[in-house]
Amino acid sequence: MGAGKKFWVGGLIIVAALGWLGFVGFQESKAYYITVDEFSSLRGEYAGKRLKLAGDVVEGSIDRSRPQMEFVISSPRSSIRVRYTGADIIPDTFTDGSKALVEGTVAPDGVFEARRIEAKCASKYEAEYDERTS
Amino acid sequence: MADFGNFCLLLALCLSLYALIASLTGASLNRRRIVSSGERAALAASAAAVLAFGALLYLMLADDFATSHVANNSSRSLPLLYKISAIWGGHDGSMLLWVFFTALLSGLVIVQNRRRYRDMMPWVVAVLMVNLAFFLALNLFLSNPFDQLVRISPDGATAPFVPADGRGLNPLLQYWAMVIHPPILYVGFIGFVVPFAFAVAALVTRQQGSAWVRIVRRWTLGVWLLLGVGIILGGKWAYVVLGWGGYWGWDPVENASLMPWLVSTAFLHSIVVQERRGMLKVWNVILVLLTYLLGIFGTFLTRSGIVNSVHAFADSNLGRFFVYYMAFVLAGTLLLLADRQPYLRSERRLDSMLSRESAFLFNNLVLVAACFAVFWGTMFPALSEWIRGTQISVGPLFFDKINVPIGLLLLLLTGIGPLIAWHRTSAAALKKAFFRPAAFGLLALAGLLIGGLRNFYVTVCLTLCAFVLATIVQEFAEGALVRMRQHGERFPAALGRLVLGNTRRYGGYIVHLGVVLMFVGFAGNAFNREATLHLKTGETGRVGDYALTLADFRQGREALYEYGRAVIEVTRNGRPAGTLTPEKRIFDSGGQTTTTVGLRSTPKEDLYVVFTGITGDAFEIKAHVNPLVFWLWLGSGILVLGTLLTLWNWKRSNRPREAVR
Amino acid sequence: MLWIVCAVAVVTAGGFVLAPLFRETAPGPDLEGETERDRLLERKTACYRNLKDLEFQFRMGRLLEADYEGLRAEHRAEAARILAELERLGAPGGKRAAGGGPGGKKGGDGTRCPACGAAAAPGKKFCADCGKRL
Repeated sequence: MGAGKKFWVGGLIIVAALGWLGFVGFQESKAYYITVDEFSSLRGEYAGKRLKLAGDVVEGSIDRSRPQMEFVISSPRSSIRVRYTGADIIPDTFTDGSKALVEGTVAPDGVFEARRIEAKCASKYEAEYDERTS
Repeated sequence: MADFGNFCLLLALCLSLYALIASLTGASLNRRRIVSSGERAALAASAAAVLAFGALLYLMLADDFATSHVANNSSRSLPLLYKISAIWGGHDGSMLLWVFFTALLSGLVIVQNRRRYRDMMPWVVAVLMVNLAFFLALNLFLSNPFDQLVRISPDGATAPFVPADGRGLNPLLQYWAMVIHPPILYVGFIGFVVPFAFAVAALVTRQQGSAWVRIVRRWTLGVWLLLGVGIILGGKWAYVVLGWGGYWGWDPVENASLMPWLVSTAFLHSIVVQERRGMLKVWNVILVLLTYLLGIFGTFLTRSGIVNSVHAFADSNLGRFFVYYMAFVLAGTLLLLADRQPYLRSERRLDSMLSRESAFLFNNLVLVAACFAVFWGTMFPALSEWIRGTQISVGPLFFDKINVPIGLLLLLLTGIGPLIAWHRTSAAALKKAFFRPAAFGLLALAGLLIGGLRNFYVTVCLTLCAFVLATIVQEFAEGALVRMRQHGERFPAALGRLVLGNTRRYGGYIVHLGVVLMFVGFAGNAFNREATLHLKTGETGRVGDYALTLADFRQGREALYEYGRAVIEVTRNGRPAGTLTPEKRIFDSGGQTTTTVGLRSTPKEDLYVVFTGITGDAFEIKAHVNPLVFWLWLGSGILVLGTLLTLWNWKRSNRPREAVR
Repeated sequence: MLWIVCAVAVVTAGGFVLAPLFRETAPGPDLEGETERDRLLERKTACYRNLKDLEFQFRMGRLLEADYEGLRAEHRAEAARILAELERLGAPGGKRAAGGGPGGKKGGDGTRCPACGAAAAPGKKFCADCGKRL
């Protein structure tokens, strides 16, 4: 067998192994990325699945007095209560009215248990004057 | 001034299009005069683009809030430095910064090379101008930083509108690393246009020699360095300013900068094989192409909003144009490549699996696989939505799962490569070269196991680090010994001459040393500990070996923000270890809060303390103990020094062709 | 005011760009690329560099005697081929071509290496290019 062929065989083995790892990692970490509206209309379908919900943090809903912070995120038509169970620090960009992405599953009591929160410092920053630009 | 900026952009666009046409015409008709005119047009276009940037800078410094970009990103009270950095604090301005760098680089390349590579230069200019014209057009028509604010009254009439003050710069961006991080990263993205332009020019003109390979390699190395520095600064910023306790989160924007870095790393290795052995020519052109495209893709990701990310600016319809442009570049280059296939035929074949060439090949395979995995994970939400209608995103776990083994494989290759000779090697020679490093690695392994380490990946990682470290030391020591025998030099002199005599090789090894230290830092991640403490003043909480006592809590005002500052006395195993003052700031404009981390860094571990808020009557403190992070920053520093050493003899080996003659 | 500045800019840029079109052709051939000779000289340099490195690797003990001899013979043969080609294109003129090996040592009028023909600085015991004893 020539060196060139040997290289391809070795390479193939490596790539296959990595592909397998990638597949496993993918299965373990995939999350359906939907808005709160989509979630409400298809609640049954997403039961027990790992979800990434996108919505706006409702003004004044952030409740830090409980042991685990709770808040409400909403899309235009519906909203859901979220309980943060993760250990990571909540990003500074997470405030009233910011766009938030919460990742986790729905708990039996109907509250969404988020293990991760990402927040986008509201395109508010860009948007506010934008409506008036030429 | 805003009108002047627009005028400059338009002038630059016209000139760049003229330069493009003139270069192509001149090159195909073989008319020096036309080519020369095209070159001048390219220089003039660059100058005009630089002037446009100057105009925006002027508007920023003059607090011209009639301009929407200034109103949205700056304010009167902002310090001078941040007024400048506010240019790239928003979307439109960063596009102009992009144009600015493209113009500077294009100008530099033309001035530097136009007398040397006369046959290639028209094509180089043409490619540079396509690139510049694309970004100029985006700036002018889609994302114009000179747009003026207007007030639309209820009846639909519009009138100019000048707010009393601007909205200010996002406080999260008010940090020294964030002032220099975007410019450096942008040069790191856009700089790859130069190697790409030379590669295309060489293909078109069917260059036989290796002069162009040298230019491409050097430029890639320089740009690779900047990209790397940009990535590291971004990590530093995330670590110190975002306050979530880590420096890398597989965020799409981070991934966007990592991908071109991975591919260019692959290129920097495989180009050596082409220079030494005349192999892999097609592959190298593909890598140059990919690097360039991924650089463009990096901007695309941050600007288009196609993938959700904490960093992504507001959505824009720029995305489509990026896709068209990338498709155009990809298709054009692949067609050219297909046409030039015979010219790129390999001069030799792989002699043996036990050869340096084959180690390089594996290195390339693994790096490209890593890039592919990152690409896949980053783009999966967009791809799945496109194909199945639902967005499926993958978390950091996916990236870790696949990239950790890849990283370890690379680390192993870093050690093996230098030990194997070119062409072919016999087992006996290998045994001799491997004996000491392998023994050292095994010794380290034994030490780790006795020390009670049980984590598989960490054990493998640290063992490999020891192995690679030993190979590097052995390379330097044995090389110096040869010189001592050969020239009768003393050890320090021999070592110095060895390194300076071949900065490319030994600079490369120093880069490898930096990488090894960085891996030590990565390994520390497995042992991160954290605790959330609820403390009243005077109370003490524990994390790891540390006891944290909340001594005081202060509130106050600075010019732009209010702060709440926890004063925490730290003791480690009972001994005092300083005071940390993590802070929370609430900015007046927009109510944005930022975190200032309390950090105590030692080679063994970082104590990282964040004040997160007040719950009830207790203050909430998150404390992380992050082992070995110090080595990551140290390793990156060494990586930079090694690269600079490699670039050292720029003048000598980059001398013009005339001198070689 | 703005119009004047812009007009001046356009005229200046236009003049700068169009000037070469109306000039007598600059001296020197149009858009010459590298010649066959350049290419050969480059290959010669590369070949010598590889040979030198091979020698160094051998001294570091990375290669066994047998491998080394074989590879060196291959390199030498290639160097000879390149030199023959260069010969065919005409005798290399001037000092620079003579010192075309790696580094092109200063003081090229000293001794010449019997093995590879590269110029060697006076007083050196070994050839800087191929490592042979002078």
